[in-house]
Amino acid sequence: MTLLEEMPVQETVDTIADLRAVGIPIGGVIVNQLREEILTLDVLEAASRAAISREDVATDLSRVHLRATDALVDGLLAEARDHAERIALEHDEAKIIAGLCRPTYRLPSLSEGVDVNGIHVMAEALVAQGMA
Amino acid sequence: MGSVLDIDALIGDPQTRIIVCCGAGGVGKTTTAAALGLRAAESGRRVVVLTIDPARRLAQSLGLTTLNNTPRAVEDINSTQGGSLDAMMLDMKRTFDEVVQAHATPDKAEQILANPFYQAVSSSFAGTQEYMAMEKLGQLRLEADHDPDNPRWELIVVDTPPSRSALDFLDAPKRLGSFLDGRFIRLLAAPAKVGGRVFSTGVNIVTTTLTKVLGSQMLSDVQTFVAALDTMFGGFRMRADHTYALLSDRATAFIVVAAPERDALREASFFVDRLNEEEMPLAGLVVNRVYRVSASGLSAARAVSAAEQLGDLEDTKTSSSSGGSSDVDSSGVSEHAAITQGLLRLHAVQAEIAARHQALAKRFIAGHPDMPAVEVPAASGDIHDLVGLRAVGDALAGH
Repeated sequence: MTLLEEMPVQETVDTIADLRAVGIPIGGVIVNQLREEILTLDVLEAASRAAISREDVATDLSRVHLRATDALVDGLLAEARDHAERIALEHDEAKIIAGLCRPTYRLPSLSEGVDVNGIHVMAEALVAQGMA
Repeated sequence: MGSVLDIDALIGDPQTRIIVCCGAGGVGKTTTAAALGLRAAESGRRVVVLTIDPARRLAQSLGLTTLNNTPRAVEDINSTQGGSLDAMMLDMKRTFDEVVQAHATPDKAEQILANPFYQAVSSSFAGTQEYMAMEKLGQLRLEADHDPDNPRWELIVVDTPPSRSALDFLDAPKRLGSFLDGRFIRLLAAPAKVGGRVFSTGVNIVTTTLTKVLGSQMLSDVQTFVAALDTMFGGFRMRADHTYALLSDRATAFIVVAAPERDALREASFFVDRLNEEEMPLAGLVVNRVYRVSASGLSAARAVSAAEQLGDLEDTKTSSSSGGSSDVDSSGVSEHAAITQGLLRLHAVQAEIAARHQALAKRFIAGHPDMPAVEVPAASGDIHDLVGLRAVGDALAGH
């Protein structure tokens, strides 16, 4: 069970190696707390290159009656850039997990914390992905 | 609401000789400890950072590639203020070995170190890591002041083990006592200690039964171990008492690190209460990784509705221009509108997380009104180099 962050992934890789070394078979890997994908890959890529046009964004914001101040436009672009950076890191970690060649199951991030309903959400996600 | 924790005043105060970072696992304790150490060193102090279980790349950036149990200088820090930074990673087993060697005669020590039961206990016994971290702290402190006029380190920053029982070391004197004075242990050790006939009959029955359960080799290992340990018990206890005194000293400052999640904050509250109960010098709280949005003026709700409005505008436009000849133009507009919509939706999600973090952090800080506190914004990437640590240090200091 892991998160798509550096240390948990490293520990997962180490644990699996340790278990394999003593002959304990590994079932699957569960990746927890995945965030919802909000931006498309194209947009993420443009955001990380700072290639999104400020003017276009400002025009769109004005069309829906938001005051397109520099602070707002730059803020939104900065958020997208940070998000893209985080997603890129997650992709790197996901590649490492994929390299383990084990069935992988994915669980969504539960923003409200884990309660009984949250457990159901997680259980359903696992069943839907075919985990016995 | 409590006051702001002034990190620069704390690390710059020559009276502060030890800083202990505690908190639940995964809240960024190690990073905080390393960042504090670096900041103190770059402001001119001679510092050593003792880490327990650093992430690999962070360890590498501190020059810690192996567990070597001795502090080594961190390269590439800014030493223009005359400071220095050493770092080390705790080797629990080796530290335990050193304690044994320091307190037993050489042949006794050899006997203990070779004992299989000892080997199991010293590398995996629950709580060993906590004790050994504190043991190492005691050693570093002694070494620091070996020459009182010219201390090797003016400040020791310690990261506590990432376990629920991170404060177990506070119980060390008591726990070591009850472990070694415990009935079970006494029974096991009895054949080596009790000579009387009446006792030995009873004890032998116990021993025989235990031998059946545990196997004779195991039992005799335990007995040898306990008998040997018994001779060093006085030394152990004295050291534990000494460490406790060191921690309660005014030259020590505890910092409780928390992350804005319910469970982590609950544990942080437990740490705060526990430290207060023991009258330990708690300097303040660090609420780490508090998510913040850059476009803070726009609420989540407003962002969602703006994204929907923008979608509606696009829909109307596409339907009115369907069949028209301005395809290139309208698809161009749609594309950037879609991007802007994405930005607004992303902002809505992030703003909600930020609001939740803010609320949790506020609540936590309000719950400990006497505690100075500081919030550290979440970084978008993992921290694994000196540049990252410097940024964390700035944030800790409120810049």
